Amino acid sequence: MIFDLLNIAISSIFKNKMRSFLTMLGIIIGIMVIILMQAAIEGFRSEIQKEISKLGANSYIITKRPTMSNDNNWKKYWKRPNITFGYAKQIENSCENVEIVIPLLRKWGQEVKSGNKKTEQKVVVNGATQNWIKLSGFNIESGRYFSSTELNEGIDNIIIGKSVKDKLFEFIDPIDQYVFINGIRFKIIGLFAEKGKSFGEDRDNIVAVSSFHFQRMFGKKKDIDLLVAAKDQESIPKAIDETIIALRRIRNLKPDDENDFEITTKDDINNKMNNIIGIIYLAALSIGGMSLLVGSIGVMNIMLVSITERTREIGLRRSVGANRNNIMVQFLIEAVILSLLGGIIGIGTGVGIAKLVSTFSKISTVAPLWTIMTAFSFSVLIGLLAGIYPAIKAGKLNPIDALRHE
Amino acid sequence: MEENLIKIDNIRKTYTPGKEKIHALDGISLDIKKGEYIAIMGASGSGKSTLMNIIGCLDVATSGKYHLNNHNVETLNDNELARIRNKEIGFVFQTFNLLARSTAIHNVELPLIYSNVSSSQRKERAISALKKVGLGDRMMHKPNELSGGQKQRVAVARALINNPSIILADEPTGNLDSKTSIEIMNLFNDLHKDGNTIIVVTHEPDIAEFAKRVIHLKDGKIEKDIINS
Repeated sequence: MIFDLLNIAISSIFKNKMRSFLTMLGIIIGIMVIILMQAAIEGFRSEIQKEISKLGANSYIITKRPTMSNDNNWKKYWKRPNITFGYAKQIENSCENVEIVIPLLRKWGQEVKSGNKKTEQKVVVNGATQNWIKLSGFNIESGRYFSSTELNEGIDNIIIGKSVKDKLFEFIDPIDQYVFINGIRFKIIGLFAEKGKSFGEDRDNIVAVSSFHFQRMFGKKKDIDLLVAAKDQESIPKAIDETIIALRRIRNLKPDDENDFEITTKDDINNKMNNIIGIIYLAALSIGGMSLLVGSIGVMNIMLVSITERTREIGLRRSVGANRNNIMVQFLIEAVILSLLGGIIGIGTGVGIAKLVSTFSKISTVAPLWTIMTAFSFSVLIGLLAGIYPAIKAGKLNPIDALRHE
Repeated sequence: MEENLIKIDNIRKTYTPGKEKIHALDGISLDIKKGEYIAIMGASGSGKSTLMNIIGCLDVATSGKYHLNNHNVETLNDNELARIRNKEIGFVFQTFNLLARSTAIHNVELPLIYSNVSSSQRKERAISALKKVGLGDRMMHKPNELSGGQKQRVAVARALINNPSIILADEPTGNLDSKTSIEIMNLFNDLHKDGNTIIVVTHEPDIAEFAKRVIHLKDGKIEKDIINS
């Protein structure tokens, strides 16, 4: 019998194709939005995770202002003293559990020239110190890294990334060739190994010069960020404590003064990122949820219309032996199928668009299985909720009145 | 002596649509034997529709007793009434009441869906019922592809399919021309000859002529109960 009721429901949905489709639209859009947002968020999260893990397993950052903050107390942060170049050596020397400290010197949007060829104004110039290569995540593919003499004496050497090489020296070995940045001539001594792209950003579009030349080209930066690497993962908490003590001593802070600098670990970034993702999630859920609510009202409405239209049919079914439950279940199934079909189409389009986006862009969007399962069961639930009232109404119809209905 | 299929004892039905009570049925007692062919006649408002609804278990009386095939109908709940309608009664309506978008076969097998008959058996029985009413060649047609007479034949086949105790026809020729009306009434005659119990509600004397016994209702009471010779 349930199979027959299923049959009745499906055929009645397909007899009104356009109407059924329009009714499903709200559900389709709601489910699609949820799936898409979910896919985007998951993609975003995994990219962020990749990015963060590149920070190096044992490292944290020292900055003047909080890296990610939602409090509006910027004036307080602005008044803090700058973190300067010299801090790096001081921290490195005084903290037992700190292995390396490097200043983060980066300048985006530069142009590199060689002969009559030039790159777009998109190259990232890094100011390197002796240990920069260890924390940068880059490896040398050919040539060599700067020697300490070169760094200290400011010899105008440069190491270039794969994309810069491809643009300027397509078919020749770039080592010992010369390039110009901001009018300064550099001799290429090394080539970085390829890193690929992330978030559509070409991470091989970089060069590294000595920090000396970096400051010569772009001016002495008053405030810099420091990247610190602890000896190993276990020693991170100790290293952080030591760093705080060292910084407070440098700054001459009294015991009850607040820290006037920020230390951000990978976990901090992770947590903050998760908070942001949580907010996006909530937004996506409420947009999708509202669409689903509207969709379910649509389903309920169309079920009520359908019951009015088919009052005589209900009367007939009752007269040939259907009981209240049979009628109720028939319309409930119809509502559930309608909503479920909308859900399936929504899942299909959502997953399809997510696939399309990750194929045609560098952003990987993945709809996790549990989202699909949730969306699926959610659409069944919506069908039940939207269908229950019309179904009860249909079941309660008096067969005599229903048969007489015009 | 044949046993009574229907035993109605002093049935009353009152409605209170407004302030005043309306006595649609005002103390009706009636016995109907298996295999009878009865016409119930009366002007509109005489209570014949109410009587038919009660006999057909679509409605229950306000007071009085109704036994149908040894079921004590007035004590039954909605589910049990639905089962009685399914097994014991075959309805034929003035307006045919066919499912517009379903084939003749599907329309005929409808009662069997609610008695859990397997789909292959349903089909088999629907085909034989359609053949019985002379529509062996119209089985896959939808109602809009059938004439009025053919539609009513489909409805009769639907009424027959579950081998009910009574076929209950409410103005079965009301929407048909006189020639087709006679065809349908002849069909009822044939069914009667096969041993079916038939009750036809009508206000047309010509139609009542076909029955063997005619019951006249007036103001909710039996006015005359005549055996046609």
